[in-house]
Amino acid sequence: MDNIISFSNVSLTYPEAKRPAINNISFNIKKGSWTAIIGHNGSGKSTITRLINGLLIPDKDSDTIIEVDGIKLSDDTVWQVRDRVGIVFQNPDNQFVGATVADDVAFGLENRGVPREQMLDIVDKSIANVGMMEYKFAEPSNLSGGQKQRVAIAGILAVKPQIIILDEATSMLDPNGRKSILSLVRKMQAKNNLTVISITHDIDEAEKADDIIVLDDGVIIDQGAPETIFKQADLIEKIGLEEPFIYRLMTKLRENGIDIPNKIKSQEELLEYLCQLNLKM
Amino acid sequence: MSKIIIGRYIPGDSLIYKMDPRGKLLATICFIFFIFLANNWITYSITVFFSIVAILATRLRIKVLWDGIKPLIWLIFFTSLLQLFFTTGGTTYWQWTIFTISSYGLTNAVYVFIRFTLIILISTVMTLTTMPLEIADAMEWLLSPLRLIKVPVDKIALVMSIALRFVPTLFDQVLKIMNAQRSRGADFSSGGLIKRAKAIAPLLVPLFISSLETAIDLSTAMESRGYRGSQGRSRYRILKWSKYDLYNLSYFVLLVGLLLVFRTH
Repeated sequence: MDNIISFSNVSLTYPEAKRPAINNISFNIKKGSWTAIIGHNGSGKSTITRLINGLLIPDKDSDTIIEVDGIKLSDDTVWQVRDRVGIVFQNPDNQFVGATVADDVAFGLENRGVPREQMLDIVDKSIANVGMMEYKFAEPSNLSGGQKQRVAIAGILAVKPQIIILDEATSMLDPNGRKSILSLVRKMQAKNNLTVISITHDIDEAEKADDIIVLDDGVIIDQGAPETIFKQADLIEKIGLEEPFIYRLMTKLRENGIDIPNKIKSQEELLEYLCQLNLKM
Repeated sequence: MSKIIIGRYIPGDSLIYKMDPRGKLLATICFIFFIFLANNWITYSITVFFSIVAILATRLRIKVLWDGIKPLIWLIFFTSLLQLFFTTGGTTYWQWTIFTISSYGLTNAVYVFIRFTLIILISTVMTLTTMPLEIADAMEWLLSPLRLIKVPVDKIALVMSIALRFVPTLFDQVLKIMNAQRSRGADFSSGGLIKRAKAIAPLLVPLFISSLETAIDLSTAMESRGYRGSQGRSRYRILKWSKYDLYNLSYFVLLVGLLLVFRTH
């Protein structure tokens, strides 16, 4: 698979900060993958998203390269890059620009000068895609947080990006809202062959990703598949997160002398394995 | 509480709702000027009659219109009383130091009362039947000639619509902050005027900070969604004139015509 995003030697120091928020990091993200970026507060997770679409400009350095979908990010290409990257932010209210659902979904299209006749069609389709058609003319104050995030996703999908970044997009939602937003993004990812980057504190969400980047104080301390990351209990503890439930369960089971094969990755597999084990005993 | 909107729009589908907000805004503004054409009993009666028909055409309950006048009722009475006691001329009925009640003062007081009340009623008819967003669109259209002298009308319009959109959000924040302060023993509902005013200060500081945070978040979101000023933007929402606006226009022209014919020259 091709890389859709690649960072090499990227650093960023906020004005008047003593230490860089991002310290000389390099990584690649594969096209069509779901990547979770995890790390404690202030580890630089959100800074990375803002570097990807040029909201923040990295420290000047001759080897610094940020490439998105084959485009090298610079002052001239920043709008091209933003056409390819959609970000769903944390606070549902603070990213709702339009006065109604339809107006908000249209905002990105208006910015790109899409003719009105096409816009009407695209807006309807995008709202229908996220299942919000009955709220087309609703005002944001009458919507729940989860519904507002759905609208934010519709607004992003309307401009057909290649990459969707969820910047702690579900952290202000209740568990049901969180689940439904994530399953919506998964559905859209499969349908439109999107690349998803999810910045998250939710370890159970990260566990379902294809790839995980672990950040600590502006440095990438590990990158890999969930099963290799979560096996390292000390690493997870170091960044102040708790292992996903099933990894904690497997560790406990192993401690109690039950042999759990390393290939088990999901709750379903573990359940099946334990049932079979039960039959054998 | 969070349903509060500027102008208290009430959904409906009578004739006036179908009119274009631009026409309604223009008619309301012109009404405020043309009402000064009335200068005798006949012309005032005509204006009152036309206004009552307009009010009835909204098919709204009289109660909501009364709610529109209520906050201003004392101002209306005060202005009328000033006219009553300080206008001299005609027959003098009563006099005490500087206060006089004369026939001129009496008619002037009634005229001012009618004029004031009608202006408020007609403006209320507009705000009740037009969504705030539509009013913002109409204002943009009204301001559009200023583009010629490089006034950024589109940006002003965007600012207006975002301001309207965030009224309920800020309101929710106020409630949240109030509850937070209440849970620490703050009291907003008792005590005299000064005590209550003092209780507001601890609300304003957190509200100010949270609005700034909201503004920063919003501008980040707008930029990442491709907003780069009004150049090359297309529009999703557009206003269209219809036959109902013709009714609006002819009704207004008729009123002005009658006023011109029957006013005292």
